[in-house]
Amino acid sequence: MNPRIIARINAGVMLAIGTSLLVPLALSLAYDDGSWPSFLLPSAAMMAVGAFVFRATKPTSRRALEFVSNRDVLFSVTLAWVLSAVLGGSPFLLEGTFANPIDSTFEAMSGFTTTGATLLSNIEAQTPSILFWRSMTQWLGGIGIVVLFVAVAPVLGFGAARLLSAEVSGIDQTRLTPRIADTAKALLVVYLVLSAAEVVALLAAGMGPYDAVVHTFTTIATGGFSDRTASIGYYHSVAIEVVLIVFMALSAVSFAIYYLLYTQRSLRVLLDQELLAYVGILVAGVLFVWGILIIEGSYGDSWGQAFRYSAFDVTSVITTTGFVTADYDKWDTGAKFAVLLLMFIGGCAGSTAGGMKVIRIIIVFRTILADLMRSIHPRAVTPLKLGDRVIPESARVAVLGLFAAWILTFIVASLVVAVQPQLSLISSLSAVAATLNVVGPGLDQVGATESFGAVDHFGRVILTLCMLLGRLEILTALALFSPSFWKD
Amino acid sequence: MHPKVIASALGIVIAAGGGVMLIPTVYSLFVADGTTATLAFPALGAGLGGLILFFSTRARDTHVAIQDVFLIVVLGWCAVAAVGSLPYLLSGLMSPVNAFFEAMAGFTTTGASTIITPEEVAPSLLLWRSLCQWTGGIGIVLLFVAIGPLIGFGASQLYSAEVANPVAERLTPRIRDTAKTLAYIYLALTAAGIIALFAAGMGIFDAVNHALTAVSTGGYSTRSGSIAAFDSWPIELAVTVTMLFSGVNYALYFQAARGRLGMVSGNPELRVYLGIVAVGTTIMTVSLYAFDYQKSLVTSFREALFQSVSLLTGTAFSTADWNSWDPLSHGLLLTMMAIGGCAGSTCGGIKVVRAILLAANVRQQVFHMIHPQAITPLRLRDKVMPESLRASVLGFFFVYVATLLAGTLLVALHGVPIGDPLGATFACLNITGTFLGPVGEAQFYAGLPATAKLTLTVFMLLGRLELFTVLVVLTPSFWRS
Repeated sequence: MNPRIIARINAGVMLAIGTSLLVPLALSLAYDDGSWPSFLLPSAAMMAVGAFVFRATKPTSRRALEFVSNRDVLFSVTLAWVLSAVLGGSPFLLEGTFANPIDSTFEAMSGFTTTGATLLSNIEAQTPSILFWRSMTQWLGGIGIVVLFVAVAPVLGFGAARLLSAEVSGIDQTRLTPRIADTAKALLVVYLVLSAAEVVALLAAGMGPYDAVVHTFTTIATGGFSDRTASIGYYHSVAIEVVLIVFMALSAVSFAIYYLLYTQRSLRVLLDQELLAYVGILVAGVLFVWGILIIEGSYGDSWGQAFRYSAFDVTSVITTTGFVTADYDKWDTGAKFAVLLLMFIGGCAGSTAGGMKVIRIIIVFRTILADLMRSIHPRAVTPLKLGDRVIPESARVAVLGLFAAWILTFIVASLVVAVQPQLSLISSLSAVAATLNVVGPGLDQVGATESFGAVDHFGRVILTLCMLLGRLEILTALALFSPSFWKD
Repeated sequence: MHPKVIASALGIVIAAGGGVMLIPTVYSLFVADGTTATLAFPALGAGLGGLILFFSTRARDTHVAIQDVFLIVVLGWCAVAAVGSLPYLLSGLMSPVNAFFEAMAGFTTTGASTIITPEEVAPSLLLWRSLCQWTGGIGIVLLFVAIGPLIGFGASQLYSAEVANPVAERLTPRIRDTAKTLAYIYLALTAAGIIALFAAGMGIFDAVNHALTAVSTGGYSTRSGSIAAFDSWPIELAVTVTMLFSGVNYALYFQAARGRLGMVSGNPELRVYLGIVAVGTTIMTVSLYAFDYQKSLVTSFREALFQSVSLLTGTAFSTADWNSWDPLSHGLLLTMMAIGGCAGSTCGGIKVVRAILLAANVRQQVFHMIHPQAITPLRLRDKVMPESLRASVLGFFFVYVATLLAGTLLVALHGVPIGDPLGATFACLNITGTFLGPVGEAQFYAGLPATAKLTLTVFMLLGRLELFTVLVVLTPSFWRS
């Protein structure tokens, strides 16, 4: 391992967070809400330490930078998220929002992984600058993910992200731009343009400027923190809901698509297989839940009302955002279970959404279909094609393997969280599902209108870990726990 | 596809079902419990009907395609369940849907039941209920161990890939001999079970019934309190040992019968299987002792051992109210249910060997994250497995999870509270028949809507035939020639 590189990357992350903290600091001074010391201290400390380490680890030559091993990347990435969560949570701790570091780290991890699970039960009681920072962590986490998974990962070919590289998703780095820095810049522009567009749209829909920015932060990142306890249900506004549905749906599309759309200026880009499947799943999910809500009469005779709630909540769950307008805990069992299933699918690869990602679901299903076909025609050759690309056998097995790892992690984590007599089985299962797939709210005791306060501190640590595992697609983070990682 | 071949094979299956039904018929004459007619008519009807079907469709051309086999197996289980449901129906004990559910739960050795108090049911019907499981058990052993490997069917790759079980290669020309040997082993285990239970103090009727359902890892009991009703240490021990033996791959007994004991003791699946029982029992003993002040260490051990073996093998007899146990024990028991016994036994679940390979694969994937260029063959102990097995095991696991979720969704659509659809599908798919909470009790299944019950029978069949067999029949390409 190369400690220099690892330290340098993480010093960079620290600098970025320290600098970002200046925004809520300024806001706190402007609003005069008295929270400014909670931002000033961590910000100053992080910038000082970050700058010092960054300077101290300046590469001695160009060659030193080239020697980055797989291990360095895995370690740096995981550490970066842990560091962000611990340090990014410090304002909550200093402000007294949370009494202990476990809770503040949980909230910040939920932010930086764009999960949206919260421990706050009365959100309105917090100062505006604290809530602003809380939402901003998601927006920052979103940038980190897009840059990491679309720009950096395919080039370094690391981890589960290997599957997001050229051969599978059609995101060929040569077709993006040849250099990581340029790609990253281009993606950042897309991210900023989407954010700006949403702020404008929300303002037009009648949201106040502060709320509009806060909700934009968490929509684009598919995070789902809101500055209202009732989430979007607070506004009772169809216009706001429509705007959010559109932007949630847009945020779960691969950012590479936007980039290609801009550079190639051709609508053919939209014929991407994953994108089509994603839209299909989204529409099917909304219609399915709508159907159940109508049949069960959850909203009386009002089909429109049922559609409004199913469209919003299903979009929110598939994109792993986690905003809510209706309390889906009160829905019928079938609708609730459909919600739980959709969590695992998630959005497209290369977006800020979590879950297993649509592309993997496509590959897994088509592999199984091919297997079934082969059990009747044992000698049949069944290449798996996605668009005009053939997915190699090794990639199919890897995707299936990732699925197994995902489910096994889910089972083990659920078992561990379930060792709490006060939690119902469905609460612990959905808490793990919601954090592992970076959705946010679960069902029952951790449901849409509840916080994660019902989970004890041990459980909160496990769930924090689940968010990290889910965000980094399991294997990246799991590798650090393997003895062979530490052996040479 | 060859409709004649399929019809003639189904004829044999139906006739066999009718033949087995003669046993409770004779027994009912003997005890005069008034069910002779309800058993005799279906028995003779199925026997004659089956034979007529067999003889009328006998073809000279004996070419059998793989599609035929899939259809024969799936339809065979459905047909025999339909025939088997007739006594329940004719005796007025149950509605048609409940009768079919009961029979399917019997022939798939699931053990889910809608009979709330078995004590009030005529003894010959109880005997028939146990015999359904026993017959289903021998069916599955013959299918997966004798026939499967020959035609590349079911989990056969797991046997043929494993050199410890060269059954497939060795017995291709003499499938009849293999089947005969396996049947003898099954009979011997059953006989040993009956003797052991009788010696431990059970009455002969109870001993026969419980031995039939323990050897087939089905779990029907003649008492509403299951094995707890006997409250006897020797009986529990006898049942535990019978279940434990029944969860072992029959191919191993086959090897043992041929004197190849080394292959048996060195079998990695067997070792892990016993290891799971040992570790599970130990942890649960400690956990029960620590959580429950009223239990002595001995009682904790006794209950933990019985429940571990009972749920790992998917038998689901019970001696204690494990519903009220601590969450850790619950978690362990649920995991054991999902794993199930060894491949090539009558158990359900994922099977121990697949669990081993799954864990090995996850470990390798993590290793690959660190060393992307490394080449790591899949190994079972020190034997290298073919790469196709990896894809097959992973694919099975995906389909298992997807099926579980699909089943849960289908049952949940009936408006059952959310934990229960998951539990019921889990219980049926793993051929266990029981779960935490209300699921597993006869009242729960009896109270389900008819369509939910029929849905669950499909999932029993899916679990019993290791998913792919049934799913293949449902694909469009199966019906295209």
